[in-house]
Amino acid sequence: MSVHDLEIQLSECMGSNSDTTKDAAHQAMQYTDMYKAGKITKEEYVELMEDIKHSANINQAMDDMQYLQNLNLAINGLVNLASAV
Amino acid sequence: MKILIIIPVFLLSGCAFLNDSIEAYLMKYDTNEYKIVTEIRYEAHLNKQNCQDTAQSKSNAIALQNKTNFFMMFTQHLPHDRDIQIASVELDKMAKGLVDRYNSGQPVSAVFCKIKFENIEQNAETIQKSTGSKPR
Repeated sequence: MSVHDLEIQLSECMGSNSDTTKDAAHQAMQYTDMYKAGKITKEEYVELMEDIKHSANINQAMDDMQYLQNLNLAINGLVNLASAV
Repeated sequence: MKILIIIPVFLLSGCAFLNDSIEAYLMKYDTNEYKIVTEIRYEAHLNKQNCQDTAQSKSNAIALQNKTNFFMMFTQHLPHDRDIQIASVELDKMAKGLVDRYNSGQPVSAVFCKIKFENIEQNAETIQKSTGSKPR
C-alpha cells in the first residue's frame, strides 16, 4: 500500500459519521502535511501519530463511562419510581 | 413493589449488563481525581506557550509527566473507576512521549512541543469532563 493509498483512506475516514474518527483522520492528515513540509521530523511525526491512538483510547474509555453514567441515571430513576409506587 | 419493577430489568439482561449496572451504581465523583486532572490540563495549557525555550520546555515536560504518572497511580486502585484508569494510562503515555523526545538528545522542534502540550491539554479536558459528571 502506497502513501497515496493511505491518504485516500484517511480522506474517506474524514467523511465518517463518528466525530472521533473524523477528528482522528483530520489530525493524521494535518501531521502528514506538516511532515511533508519539513516542519516536524520523522520521529516527531511517529510520536504524534501515536498520540492519535492514545486519544482514541481515551475517547473510547470516556464513551464507555458515559454509558455507565446513563445507566446510573436509569437505575436511580427506576429506584425512585419504585419508591414512589 | 420496588423489587417487582427492578428485578425483571436485570433478569431480561445478561451478566455483562448486571456487572455494568453494579459499576454504574457504585461509581462516585472524586474531588482529588478531578483536581489532579484539572492541574494537568492547566499546566499543559501554560506550558504550550513556552515551547521556544528548549531547556524550559524540557523541564516543563518532565514536571507534567510526573503529574500524569501520579494521576495514573492515584486512580490505579480506586474501585469502580476502570475507565478513568484506562484513560490515565493513555494520558501518561502521551506525556512520556514528549519527555522521551527531549531525552533522545535530538533537537525537539517548537511546533512539535506545542502540539504535544495541546494534545495533552485536550485529552486532560476530555477526562476532566467525564470525571466532573460522575454522580455525587
